[in-house]
Amino acid sequence: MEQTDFTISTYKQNISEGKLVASRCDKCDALYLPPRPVCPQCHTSELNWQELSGKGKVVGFTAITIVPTGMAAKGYGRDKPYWSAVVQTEEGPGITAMLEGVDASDPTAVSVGMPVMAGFNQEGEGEEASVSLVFRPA
Amino acid sequence: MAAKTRKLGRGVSIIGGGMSKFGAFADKTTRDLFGEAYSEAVGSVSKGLDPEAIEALYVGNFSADLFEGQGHLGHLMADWVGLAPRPATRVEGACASSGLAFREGIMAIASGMYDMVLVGGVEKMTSLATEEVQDALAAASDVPMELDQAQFTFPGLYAAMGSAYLDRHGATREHLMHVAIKNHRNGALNPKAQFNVSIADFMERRKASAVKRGKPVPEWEDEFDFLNDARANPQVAWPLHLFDCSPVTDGASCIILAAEDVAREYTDDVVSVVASAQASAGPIATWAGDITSIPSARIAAHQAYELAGIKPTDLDLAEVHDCFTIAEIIGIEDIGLFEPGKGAFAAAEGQTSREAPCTVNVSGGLKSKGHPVGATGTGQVLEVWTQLTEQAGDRQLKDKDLSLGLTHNVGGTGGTCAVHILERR
Repeated sequence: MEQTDFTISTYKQNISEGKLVASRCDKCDALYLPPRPVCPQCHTSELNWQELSGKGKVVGFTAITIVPTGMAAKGYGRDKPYWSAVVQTEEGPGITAMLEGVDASDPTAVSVGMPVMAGFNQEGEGEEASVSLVFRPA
Repeated sequence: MAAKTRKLGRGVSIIGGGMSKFGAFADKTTRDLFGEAYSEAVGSVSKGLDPEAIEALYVGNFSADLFEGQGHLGHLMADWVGLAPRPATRVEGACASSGLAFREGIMAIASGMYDMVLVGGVEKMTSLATEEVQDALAAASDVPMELDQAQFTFPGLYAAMGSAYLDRHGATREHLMHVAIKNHRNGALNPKAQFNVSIADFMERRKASAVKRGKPVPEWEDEFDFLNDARANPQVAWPLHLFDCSPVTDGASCIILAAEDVAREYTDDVVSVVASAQASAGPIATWAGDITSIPSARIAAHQAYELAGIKPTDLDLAEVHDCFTIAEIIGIEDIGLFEPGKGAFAAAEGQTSREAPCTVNVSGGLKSKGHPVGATGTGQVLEVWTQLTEQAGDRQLKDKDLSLGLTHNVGGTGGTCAVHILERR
């Protein structure tokens, strides 16, 4: 991958291109999400990018019914909950993202340990277009 | 990383404290609430206090900026209570803001810089609608990852921890309910609590209200039946429901700290700080796949016991950060009162009750007393001081010899945690 700054905006740029990327330390191999400029294990700045497979498993999850105002504007709420989850990627680092493809009105539909796969949702057109990372049952 | 633990350079004691009533007060702003807590704190010093002796202020506040559009609080609070031009510093650590302010005050005295400081916290939250409060609190999460990417709310993050805990340890929603029932029962004895009613009282009120309005009267067998009724106790973020969550609260709390070597000039009942510890952690996604325990809380508690030279079994009471019922269960494990996975079952067996060797949240906790986020940390300290000095009125713990109490104050989902241990001397 091209060597760019380890910033949140680079991370988001990769998401918009359908890639989930982490920073990997050249010295100790520690992988971090979101990518960061200093290795938290050995404190060096000798880092590289690594694209992740997108495979992971659910570590914790919730179906949210009292929603933030931004989600309420999209029609979510008491009658239309959505999933948010903590996922541990196959390569190790954890990540928080929304979960799709499972009925959010049934809290037993998701379980800890459930295998999931990253997906990329495009919303809007032209300059308004944005891509968001989601996980779906694998 | 092996954290270094260092003892205080000199002893620090609590000589007074006070709080505003916690609740929803349309006509009170941040400074009004802080003024109430301050006046009660000064008035509580048993041998009297000339406020001129106070040398500096540390004020915990999460976000008056978002709640009231008011930033730069330190000097405003100092001026409001007549303590300008003394240095006044605002301290922010989300829901641990005043736990951190307390620690700053302790370190300022321990360093020899001052002999007496005022520490406290304040939050005015009910100026916003519930949804907007949730948005404001979400500013304490990792915004790009937890909020923008995952759309986690604050209850949602604790709910995810709850889902992992229930799965790993075979606990159920009923275990969480025990925490809410116990804390409301305790809060019913606390006149400053926002909801100073038991859940049984809530049920009776609902029934009376139904009768009054000519509606069908709900028939709940007991508190669990009530809490399992989705109309009475709607889901917020599974597995958490309304009665698993602390309320939105306006309130302030203050503590007056003095060097131990001057404390007896102000009171014969000296309570000293025997440990002050604080730790940080990344967002929950960085906790190596285990979100059933808060790493910063475990580390801060471990350091605090080492500094105080005591064990969890030596504690008589603990004020634990129960912003959600699952947070109390995880909290009592993180501070070592119970082994990992045992907290939920211990709570259900009454091992955290008023009668237990270590009573947890005798104040009613954040759940019943209320959670004005920036005021919570010093509110917890105030309860421990009030109990240790036997000034707690109807809720005073009586059947044990009280000497040691702990406060566990968590910011965000554990990004920040402050643990303090207080001892009656």
